[in-house]
Amino acid sequence: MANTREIKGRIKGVEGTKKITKAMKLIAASKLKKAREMHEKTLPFFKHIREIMLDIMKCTPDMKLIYFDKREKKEHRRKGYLVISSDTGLNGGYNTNVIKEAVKVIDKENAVVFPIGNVIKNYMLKNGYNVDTNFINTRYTVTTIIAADIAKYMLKSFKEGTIDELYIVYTEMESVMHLVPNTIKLLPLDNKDFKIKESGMREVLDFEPSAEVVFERLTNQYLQGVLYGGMVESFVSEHFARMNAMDSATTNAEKLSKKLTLDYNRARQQAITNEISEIIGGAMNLK
Amino acid sequence: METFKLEVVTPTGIFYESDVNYIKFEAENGEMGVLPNHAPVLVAIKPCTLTIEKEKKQKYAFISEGFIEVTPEKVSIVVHLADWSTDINAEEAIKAKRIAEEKLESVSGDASRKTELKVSIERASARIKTSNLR
Repeated sequence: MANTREIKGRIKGVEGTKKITKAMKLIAASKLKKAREMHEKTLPFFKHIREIMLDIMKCTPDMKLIYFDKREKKEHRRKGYLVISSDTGLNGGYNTNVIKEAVKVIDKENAVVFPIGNVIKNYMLKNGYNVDTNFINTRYTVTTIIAADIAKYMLKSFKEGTIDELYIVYTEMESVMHLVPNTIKLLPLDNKDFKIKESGMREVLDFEPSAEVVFERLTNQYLQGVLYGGMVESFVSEHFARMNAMDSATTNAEKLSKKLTLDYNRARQQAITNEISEIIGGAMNLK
Repeated sequence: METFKLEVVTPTGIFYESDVNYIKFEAENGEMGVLPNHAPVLVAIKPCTLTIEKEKKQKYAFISEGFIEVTPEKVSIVVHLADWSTDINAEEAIKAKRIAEEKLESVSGDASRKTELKVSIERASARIKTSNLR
């Protein structure tokens, strides 16, 4: 059995780690709360954007816009992937799951990866993916402004033809205990996503200045909304994963500390017993 | 007096929601007003002052570029930013306008950056104008 001083040192170390993990858990919890509130506040805005887009589609279903162009005939199609991970580790399987999903969906040959978050950036660079590092520093704070920047850049790339399809790989919070990595297609827009419900026909809308102009602008905002939603969801998931990881780390630290305390007491007891028997042995010898 | 339902929505939440008599704002092609029972229309708007009239009292707010959708049920204003005239810091707006103007002069060639700065200037100007209205 180890000596008492050694065990005491270890207990101290474990207690220290426990304090850190506990603090990290609390931080993650408060960030999680904040991110959720932010998300809730933003929802009505993007819901409106979507509704307006639906209204336009209802009124002018045969509109020809570049964003619906599937470019099926084009050779060497390039696909863009926005992949969202965290900047730091210590959050359980969160990053691993995102990486797994990304590796599964991305075809190395003709894809550009836009990593958001350090972990995924490092992984992609190390593994020889075609990486565009325009947005790596956007992970610290999720705001609509950042989403707007990304949306603008993506639409520009799409229009110029540097990418023909755009996907986002993010983590969805399916339920409180279930975080699933998910991939969704952002561009080109799919008519199916804006399916017209026969019953919901509304009287004809007028447009000022024109349906195309309004729709073009809306597309930007819509993309921004989806991006923002994905980012916030990932952000919430990240903090949730971290909270869980830190929670179990704290529990483990507690268990370990308990066990070590027991060991320590045992070792101490043994030392005392040894001492006593030595003294007794010595006394016996003197007789 | 007849009223209609108005809501102003921004990414940071619902800014204003109430039954009002009349609103006025600036569309791409000029000033535009909405009274109750307006025909359904969808308008792209510029950064401007939004005037809301309710019970014969007028309220002023700055709104950034966005959309106004008029439907039989309600009027929705969907914009990025919105501030009441009383909450605007005019000095800051003047400063922001000056900075944007200076930047615009130094930018050459980059068209998208230019439009961006022009929008900033428009926003700041609309802010300054709105802040004088009480």
